[in-house]
Amino acid sequence: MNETKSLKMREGLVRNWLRFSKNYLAMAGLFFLILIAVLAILAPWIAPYPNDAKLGVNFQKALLPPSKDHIFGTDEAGRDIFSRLLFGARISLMLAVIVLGIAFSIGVPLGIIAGYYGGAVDQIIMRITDVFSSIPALVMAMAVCVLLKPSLENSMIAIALVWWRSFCRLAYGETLHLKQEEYVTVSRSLGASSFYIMFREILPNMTSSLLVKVTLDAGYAILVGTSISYLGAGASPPTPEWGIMVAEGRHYLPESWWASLFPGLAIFLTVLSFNLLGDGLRDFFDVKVE
Amino acid sequence: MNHILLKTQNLCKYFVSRRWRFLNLKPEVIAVKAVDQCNLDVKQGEILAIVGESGSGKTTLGQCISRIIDPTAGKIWFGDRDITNIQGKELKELRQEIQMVFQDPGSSLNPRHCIEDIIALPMKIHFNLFGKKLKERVKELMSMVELPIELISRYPHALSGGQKQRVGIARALSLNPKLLVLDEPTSALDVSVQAKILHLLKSLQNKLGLTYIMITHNLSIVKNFSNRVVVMYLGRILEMASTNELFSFPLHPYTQALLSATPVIKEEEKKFIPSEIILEGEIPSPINTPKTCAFLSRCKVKKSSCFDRYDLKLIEVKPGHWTQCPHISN
Amino acid sequence: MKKEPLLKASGITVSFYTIDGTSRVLNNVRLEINEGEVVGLVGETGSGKSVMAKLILGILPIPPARVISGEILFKGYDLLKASPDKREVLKEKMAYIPQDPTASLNPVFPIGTIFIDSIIWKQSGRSKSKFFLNRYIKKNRKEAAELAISLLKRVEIADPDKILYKYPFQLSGGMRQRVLLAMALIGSPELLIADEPTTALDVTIQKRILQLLQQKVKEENLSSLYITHDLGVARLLCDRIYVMYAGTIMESGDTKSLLENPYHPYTKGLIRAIPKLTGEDFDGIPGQAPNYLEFPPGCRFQARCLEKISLCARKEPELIEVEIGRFIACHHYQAR
Repeated sequence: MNETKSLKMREGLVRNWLRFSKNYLAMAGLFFLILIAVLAILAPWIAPYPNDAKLGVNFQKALLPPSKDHIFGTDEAGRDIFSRLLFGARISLMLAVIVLGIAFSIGVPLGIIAGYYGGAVDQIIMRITDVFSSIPALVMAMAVCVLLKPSLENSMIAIALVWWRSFCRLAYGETLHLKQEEYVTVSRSLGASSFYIMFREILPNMTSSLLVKVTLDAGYAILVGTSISYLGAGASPPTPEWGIMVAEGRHYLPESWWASLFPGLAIFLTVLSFNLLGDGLRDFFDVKVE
Repeated sequence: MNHILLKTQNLCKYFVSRRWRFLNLKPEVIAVKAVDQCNLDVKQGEILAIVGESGSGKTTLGQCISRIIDPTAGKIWFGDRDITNIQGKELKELRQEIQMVFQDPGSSLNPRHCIEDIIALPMKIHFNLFGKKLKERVKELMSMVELPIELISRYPHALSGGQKQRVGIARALSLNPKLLVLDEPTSALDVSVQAKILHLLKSLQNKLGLTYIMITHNLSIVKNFSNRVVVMYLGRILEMASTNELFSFPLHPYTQALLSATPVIKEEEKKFIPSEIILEGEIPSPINTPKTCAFLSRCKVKKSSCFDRYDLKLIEVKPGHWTQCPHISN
Repeated sequence: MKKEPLLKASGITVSFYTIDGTSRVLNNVRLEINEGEVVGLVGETGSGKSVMAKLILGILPIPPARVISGEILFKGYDLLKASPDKREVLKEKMAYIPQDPTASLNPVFPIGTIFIDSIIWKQSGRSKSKFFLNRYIKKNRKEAAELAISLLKRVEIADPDKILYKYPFQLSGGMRQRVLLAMALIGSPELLIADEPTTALDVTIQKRILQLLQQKVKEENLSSLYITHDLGVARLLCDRIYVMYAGTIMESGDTKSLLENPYHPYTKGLIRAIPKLTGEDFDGIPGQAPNYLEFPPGCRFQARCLEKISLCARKEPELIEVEIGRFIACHHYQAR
């Protein structure tokens, strides 16, 4: 019996993969993201100058252009940019995971509860969400960051505090729509508890839209994170965070263009990959629904 | 003589909304009388058909009877218990006696649950079964509705319409109910599958001693499947009789029109329907229906006195044959 | 001398190319419609009847579909091979009534706008540039409105001038279907293709619409291809019926004789499966709907057939005329 189950599941997965893989842009995004993730995980072992990511300074080698020894050149403190990028990838990806994880865990249950119960519960939750939604993400994150001491951890908390609202709204909309479905009426008539209906009947049916949102938002969250650090309210030097690297490198433009360009490119390509993957997922799910 | 299993008395379900018009103090009340003063009864072991077109209120009546929704007024008796207003624990226990099978098998099954979970859910909630015992019972139910056991871990999208409907029936039977309310169980299915599902339902009734209330708009199914028939229009019951009696002597003008409109296949079926009665006009809106006869706007044999009669009641014109049309009963 | 049929389709084979494989959705289909005739195409869901209709109308999406072989002669011209311009000219003589009236009328426009636009489109000879020019000339719209009102009167809608201002959601199902029928009559078509137009309607309304269709077909001397899964409706309306299963024509013939005396096992099974007012026994057809991706060689119905012989698994039967006007594709019957 178990073999049949896994065989049929695999059959479905293979078929879905074949259909998804026809979207070349999405596949490019997926490929690049996997590449970044692998590089980030292996950073301590493959970075040519791992010390440069922390405290290693060598002012004699400051601002060297890209060469055989230093693929992306060195920054103003003589640190290898490529190694720092690898460690920066860890930071950015970790930020995406933590921020989205927190935002998801707060926003989705709140949205489902508001949508399912309606009435006063709905109003209270959604009006609080409205308040949070009226402030632009970057501005609010900056404000929170400055209130607490500016640091990388605090910037993650700040962004998460700002991010949960859109998950709440998405889950709310989906719940409103899904609670009208006939299988929900059936379960309710059978005497299932509200908790069961919310999280075992309704939630599984919104996974596709949540997945698309998580993917697209990951890129945007990283962008906000790097922006906060760029503006000085997040991570502080010598942390090899991409945003700081761009900030520090900008003093040396345009002669030492590599100091800002490569971190900037890293941000650009990562966010773009998330976007392409998210778009591809959305197209994939759309056709299926039809 | 079998005892009466379910009885309704002046059952009403109104959906009321108030709309405040600009600059008016009193709101405009819009009342949709989905079910209006319905009186019917079902005997143990019989199949009662509720027939009507869209807007007749037959689905709402079915949902009231199975207490999926709360009635607005009137009474429902199950056996000798008044189940009109029960809530909470009592209502939950009622689920073990009255169950419903839904019309569209596609939408009444959660696409993210596998078949085993779908059929097992009622038993998990009510009987607290789990693990091996639960799975055995699920397999038992699946074979009872003639579903291949391999489908137990598949998902609804992999099943055909007929198979999905069987899952719905298995789920309804899992609590060993006495009464099944079937809401157009075959309308969404192909003709060749329809027949098999109807046969399955018939054999299950014999095997398990069930009572059915079958909601449908297809009179051919009614003729072959049910013992007694109730004809509904705009929330009201217009005629009630045994199946043979209704088809041989349809009394209400609407019943006659309905029979006449039934498409037949064989020439000899034509003997069973009255000659061409083609109704003009549309089914009137169920909003704020007047108190006169519901069928007045489209009736071809109406008389001037029809406009003065209000709140028509069902009258037993012949033994076991009830109708609301005042002229027939005179 | 027998006149040439208005529409003659022969050897139509259409395949769909999907990720899962190739499915041959239409399998050597043969269909004829004579002038003034109502021909029924009867089959269950997935039998391919809508695909056939869309192919004739030219609205079948060509990838993923592909016409493998066959020709459709309409007034002497092959629709599949004609140039796009010629096809447009021919399409003017065809009208289409779709299945779901609610889905076919754009809910954000009043009926008048939809109707008048359709009339002006037809009058502009289906040319986009002319349409955009003509649309804004007041005189054109006024004339079109008058034509719309007269067409609505022909389908027996009360107060047609008021209907033009209403939105689709304000009309009932029966009225929407009548509006679509009126729109189909624009430009005096010769062939009316109706795809299950009464399936979504109540039975008393259906009766009225069917009577209307019967009247119109006689009055306008239309020929019609009526697609349905309901044999009872086909019996009322159609002069001849084609019975389709798994993309193949299994049997065809004059309605009354086919229904009273079916020859093909599938037709027999279909008729037997319908509950009848006589109270006689009814029973389903064994087996399940076919998988279009994997058909075993031979007859497509063999998996569910109660009368199969050994030849059925080896060779596909051909559609042969066994009596005047009665065609059947079945080895068992032909072997008698």
